[in-house]
Amino acid sequence: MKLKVSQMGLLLSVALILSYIESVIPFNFGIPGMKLGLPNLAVVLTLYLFGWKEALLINLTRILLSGFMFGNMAGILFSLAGAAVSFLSMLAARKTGIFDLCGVSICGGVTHNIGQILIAVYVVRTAGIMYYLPVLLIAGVITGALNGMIAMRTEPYLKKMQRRA
Amino acid sequence: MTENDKRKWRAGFVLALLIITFSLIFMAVLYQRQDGQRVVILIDGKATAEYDLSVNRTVTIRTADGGENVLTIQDGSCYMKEANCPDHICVREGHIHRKGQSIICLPHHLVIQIEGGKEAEVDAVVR
Repeated sequence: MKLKVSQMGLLLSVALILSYIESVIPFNFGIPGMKLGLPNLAVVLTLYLFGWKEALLINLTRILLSGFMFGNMAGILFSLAGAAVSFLSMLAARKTGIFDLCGVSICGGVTHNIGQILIAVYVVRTAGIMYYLPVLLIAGVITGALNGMIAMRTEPYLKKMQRRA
Repeated sequence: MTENDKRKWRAGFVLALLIITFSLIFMAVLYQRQDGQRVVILIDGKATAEYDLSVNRTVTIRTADGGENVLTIQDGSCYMKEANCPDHICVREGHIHRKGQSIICLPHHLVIQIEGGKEAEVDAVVR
């Protein structure tokens, strides 16, 4: 139990550091809702190392903490919307068993961006901004695939350490 | 890598290709649109002002929550010159001139949208 708490703490701190790095690198190219999605790396890893409950916990706490540290209230609401859609679809993608970690991460990246643009449509009450969707989808595939590849390479080592401890 | 691993890897690859192809087609359709004639200012989804794209001018848009966005219209296209929002994403969006293109300032609930001429609502009339 103690071991699990400390491992979860490490994963959360990884998520927070990645959030910080993400807030420093401007990657949006002037497109609202576009993000590198680096913290998702920690979430995907938790999903595969522990399970969906633990991943949900990491996801919620990292959004709240990073929102209060590097963002604002509006940013938290946006992140929550994107993360909720992305988390659910990652769970579904994993459940089907068709995809590996990388495929699941791609699903997460793409749906995160879809969730954010939907919230943006709701906020400005103008459907015309769906114009950004194709760019966001491609960005989601690329960032999701990169995250997935990193997670796939790291996961076996973490699993080994988890077993040894 | 086992056979099963390979199959799962391929599934992810196919998914990525499908999404990218779909997006590229979607983009190609959007980029074939013609140049617009008017620029419409929408705050909270309501059109508050409308300007002719062929007249060069700079306007300051004020929103209810104290937002100020400076929009410049020049040679048939327009861009956000300045804004007092925290993220400045709208300024980085650059120039727009095609029908349907838009600049968004989320913190101010503001959308700048390019539209066609007034008569362009109907494509053709059959007599």
